[in-house]
Amino acid sequence: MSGLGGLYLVLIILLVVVDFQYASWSDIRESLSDERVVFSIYLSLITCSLAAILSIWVAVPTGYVLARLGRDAIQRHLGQKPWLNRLAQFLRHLVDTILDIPIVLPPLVVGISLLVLFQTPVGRSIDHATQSFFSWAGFPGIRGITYEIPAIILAQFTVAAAFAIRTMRNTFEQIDDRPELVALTLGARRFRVFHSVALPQAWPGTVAAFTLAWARSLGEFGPILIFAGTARMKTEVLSTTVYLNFQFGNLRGAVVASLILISVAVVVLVATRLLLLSGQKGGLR
Amino acid sequence: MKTALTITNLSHQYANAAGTRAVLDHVDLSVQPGQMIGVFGDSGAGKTTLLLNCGTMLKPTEGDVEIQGLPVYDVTAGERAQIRAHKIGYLFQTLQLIPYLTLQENLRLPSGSSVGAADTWLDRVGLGDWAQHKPDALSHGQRQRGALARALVHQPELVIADEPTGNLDRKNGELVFRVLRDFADSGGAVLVASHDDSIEAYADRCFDLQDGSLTEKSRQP
Amino acid sequence: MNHSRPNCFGKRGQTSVALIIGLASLIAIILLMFMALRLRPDARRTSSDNINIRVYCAAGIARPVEQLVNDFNNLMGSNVEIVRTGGSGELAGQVATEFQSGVERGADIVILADDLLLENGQKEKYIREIFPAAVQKPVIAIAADSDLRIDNLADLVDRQDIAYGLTSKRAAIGKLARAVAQRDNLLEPLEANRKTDAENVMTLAQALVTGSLDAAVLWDTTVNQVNQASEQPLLKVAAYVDPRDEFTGNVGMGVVSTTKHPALAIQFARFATAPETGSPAFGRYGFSAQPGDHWEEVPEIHLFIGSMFTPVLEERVRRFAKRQGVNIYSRWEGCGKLVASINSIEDPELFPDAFLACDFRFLEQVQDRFEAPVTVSSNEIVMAVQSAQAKGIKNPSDLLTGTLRIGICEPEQSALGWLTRELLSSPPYDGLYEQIKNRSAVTVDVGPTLVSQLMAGGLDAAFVYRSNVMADPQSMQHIEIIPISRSENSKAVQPWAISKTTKNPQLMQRLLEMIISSDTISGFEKAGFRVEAPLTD
Repeated sequence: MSGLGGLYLVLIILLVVVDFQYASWSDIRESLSDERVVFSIYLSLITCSLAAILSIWVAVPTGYVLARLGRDAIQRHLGQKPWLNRLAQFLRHLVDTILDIPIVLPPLVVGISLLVLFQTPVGRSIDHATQSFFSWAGFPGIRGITYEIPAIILAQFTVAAAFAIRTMRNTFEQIDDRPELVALTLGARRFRVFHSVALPQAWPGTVAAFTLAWARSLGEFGPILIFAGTARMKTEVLSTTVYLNFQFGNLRGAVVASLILISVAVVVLVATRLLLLSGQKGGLR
Repeated sequence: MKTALTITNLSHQYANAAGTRAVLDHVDLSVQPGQMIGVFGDSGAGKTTLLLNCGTMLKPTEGDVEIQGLPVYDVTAGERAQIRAHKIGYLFQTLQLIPYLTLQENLRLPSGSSVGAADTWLDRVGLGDWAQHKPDALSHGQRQRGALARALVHQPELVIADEPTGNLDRKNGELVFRVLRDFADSGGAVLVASHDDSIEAYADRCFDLQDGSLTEKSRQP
Repeated sequence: MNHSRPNCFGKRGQTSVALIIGLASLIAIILLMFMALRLRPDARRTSSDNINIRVYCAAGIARPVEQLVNDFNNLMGSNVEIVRTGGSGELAGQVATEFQSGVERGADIVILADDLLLENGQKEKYIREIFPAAVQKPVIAIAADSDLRIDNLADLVDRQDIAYGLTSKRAAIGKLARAVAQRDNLLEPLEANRKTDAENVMTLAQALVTGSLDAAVLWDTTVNQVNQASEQPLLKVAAYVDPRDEFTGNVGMGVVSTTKHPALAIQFARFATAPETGSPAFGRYGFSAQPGDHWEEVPEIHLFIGSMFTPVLEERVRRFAKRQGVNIYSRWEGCGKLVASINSIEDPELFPDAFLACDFRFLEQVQDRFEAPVTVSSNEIVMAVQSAQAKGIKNPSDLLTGTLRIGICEPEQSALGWLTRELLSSPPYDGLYEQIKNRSAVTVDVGPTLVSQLMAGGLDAAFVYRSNVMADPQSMQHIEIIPISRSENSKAVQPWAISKTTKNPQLMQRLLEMIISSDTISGFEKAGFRVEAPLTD
C-alpha cells in the first residue's frame, strides 16, 4: 500500500525535477524581474484568495445544510410520509448532483457558459452595474465583468466553490451531531447551534476547503481563457503566462512560469496551513 | 402569580412489540413559583418520563402539561423550543455538557446568556475558576454543578432536575440542593426527581412515584 | 465523541469570534479587490478614452503585431490592445461564439495565421473586412544541432528512420502540406509515416526541441519564433515543403462585423498592412509581408458613379465611408458628363479612384486609364407612360400614333440617351429615333428628370430605365412600365473599374465587395436592376 503511495510521490517529484532540465534558478530570477511575470504572480495571488474566501462563504453554510439534511435526517422528519420522504430524498440527490456539475464540466464549457450567461439581459445589466460601480469607485478603466479581473475571480470561484462545498459537507458529516441535538433540545436556535457548536469543530475542515479552493483557483485556466481573455498586464494570471509562453514558442519561459506557479502554490499552502491551524497545537488552554 | 407547572390527568405509555406498557397513569401535579417539589421513585418507576413530559420534550400519551398556563403540546415545535430556551432550565441525569466547549460556552449556548451571567452562576456553584475549562478537565461533581449552572443561568421560571445528586458525595449533593432551594426562594419553581432522602430537608412537598401514580409523602418531623 | 478535538474559538465567546472572522474576510475581500485594481495602472483611466480596439491575435504572429499596436498607439494616441492570444482556430471559435451570443465587448479585430478561417468567418458573417497581411511558408524543420539531411518532402517521407510530425488537416499548415503532397503524389506515404498529428504547430515545435521528434512540418515563422525566444537557435530549416511556393499560408486581419468602432479598427488594419508601416514589422520577424494600401490617416477617395445608382447606392456609400473611416467625394451624374470630366481632369488628386458607369460604352471611352472592369448590374430601358394613356401602347412606334408628349434623354450626356438612340436606330426599330426625337417635347440630361415630369403631368411618355421609375414608389401609381424586350440594345450594362493610378486599390476592392454584397443586391433588385456580378457575402 505505502509502496504505491511512494511511487506516486516519486512521480510528482520527478515531474518537478525534469522541469529544471529546461530552466535554472537564474532563469527564474530573470523572470521575476519581468514586470509581466510579477504582475501575473500578484494577480494570481489576489484573485485566488478572493475566489477562495468567496468559496468558503458559500461552502460552509451549504456544506452544513447538506450534511445535516442527510438521508437519516430526512427519514427522521418525514418517515411517516413515504412519498414526501422519497421526494425529499430525490431533491437532495438532485441538489447534490447539481453542485457537482462544475467539477465534471470541461473547463472550456464553464468558460463559454459564463460568457453566454453574461450576454443575457440580466447578465448584461449586472455587467453594466459592475462597470458603474467601478466608475463610481474611481476605476473607470474596469469595464464590468466580462474580460476583466472580476471575470477571473468568477471563473475561479465557479469551480473552486464546488470543491469547497464537497469538502465542507464531508467535514460536517464526520462531526458527531449529538452535541448539536443537545443544544437544540435545550432550546438553542439553529443558527446559534451552527456557529457555536458545529462551526468550531469544522475549523480544520474549513482550512482544508480554503486551501483546496485556493489551489484549484491557481490552476484554473480554461474558463479564464474564454471568459477573461489573456490580455497582458490586464487579465494575465500565472496559468495564462504558462500557456502564452508555450504558444509563443518559448518552452523555457513556460517551464519557468510553471516552476514559479508551483513555488507560489507550495509556499502559500504551507503558510496557510501553519497559520490557520497553529492555534490547535497548544489547545488554547 | 401564575402556576409555573400544571399537569392534569397525564398518562404515558411506551409501545413495543409485546404491546404497550403504562408508565404514568392519570397523574396530576402542580408547582407554584417559590416551590420546590421532590419526586421519589425506584429506577424505572417513570421519573425521567414524567420529567421529560414536563420539560416539553416528550409528548404524553394523554393529558395536559401547562407552563405558566400555556398548554405546551398545543403549540409548534419551534415555540416549544423557545419555551425550553427561556422558561425552563433542565438538568439531565446524563448532564449532556458539550465536551469541546468550555464551561462558560456551555452555559451561554442554549439561550445566548451574557458572559457576565455565565460567570456569576459559575461562581455561585463554586466553579468561578473553571469557566475556561472544558468538561473533560473537571471532576464528576464539578461537571454536575456546571450542568446545574447551565439550567439556571438564563433565569427560567421552572427548573427540572433529574437525579441532580446522583453519584455525588454528601458535600456536593448538599450544595446542589442548597442552590436549588435558593432558586426557589428567589421565586422560581423547582421539580426534582431523586432517590436521595436528604432532599426532604429542602423540598416543600415530596411525592412517591409508584405504579404510575403519585402519592404525597407525609413530612417526617 | 472525539473529546480531544480542539477548539479554535477563543475566550471571547462564540458569537463574536464567528463575527470577527466573517468581518475579517469581508475586509480581506475589499482590500484584495482594491489591490487588484491598484495592479492595473489603466484602471483609473477616465471614461472619455473608453474607446479601445480589442485585438485577438494568433500566438505565432503576436510579436510583429505587438510592435504594430505600439507604433499605432504612439502615432494616433489611440487605445488598441491585444487582449487575447492563442491558436488561430481557437480564436476564430471564440469570435464566432461572441458573435452568436452577442458579447458586447468582444474582439474588434482578429488576426489569424490562416486566411481560410477568416474567409469562413466572412461566410458566417462575423467577419466583415479581411486585410491580407503576410505570407508564411511551410518548411521541414529539424533541431539546430541535428545533422539530418532532408532536401525535400520526398526525402522526409522515404526515410523510415525519421520520426516526423505534421499537424492535422484542421490546422492550416497541415492542410497546405497535404496539398503539396497530393500534387507530388506523396500524400499516402506522408500520412502513413508521420508519428503524430498534433492540432497545434507549436506543439510540434516543442516536441522537436525536447527531442521527441526528429523533424516536423512547421511554418518558417515558427522556426524564427522559437529561435528568438531562446539565447541560441534551437531549430533550423532543413528544406521548404513547396519550393515552387504554390502553397503558402496567409496571415490576415479580419474586422469583426459587429465592432462598435469599425473606423478605428479598420484604420489599425490599414496601418498594420501598409507597406510603409506594416511591412517592416512583419519582415523583422521573418514574415513576407503582403503590403496593402499606402498608409494615410484618412484616405481621400474620389468616386464617379452614374446617376442611375443614386437611389440604391448613395446611402450605402455614405455608410461605407463612415465604417471605413475614409472621406469619399462622389459625383453622381449622367455618365456622358462623367466621361467628359475624366478626360478633362488635370489634377491627379482629383482623378476618380473608381468609376461605376451606367453602361460599358462609357467606360470604353476611358478604359485605358482604368483596370479591367467587373460587371455589376444591368438595367432595362422601358417606356414609361401615364397610366391614362397606356392603353394600346405595346411598341415604341405606338407612341407616334396619338398626340402624346414624349420625353427622351440627351445622347451625348447620358447612357440613357445614348442607349435610347441606339435602341431606336437599330432593328427592329430602325429609323424610329428621328421620328420620336422630332415628336419629343423635351430632351433632358438624366432619366429621373423625365420621371419627375411624367409625375408632374408635363409628359405623357418617356424612355427611361426601369430603375428610374421604380426608385420612387409613388410613381408606380401613376406611371405604367412598358418593356421593350425585342432588342438586344434595350439593356444597359454597368461596369465597375478601379483607376490605374489609385493609391487605394484594396479600399476600392472593399467598396466593390460592399456594392456586390448580398445586402446591397436586394436594394438593386428592388430598384429594378438585374444583378450580373457574382455575389459576395
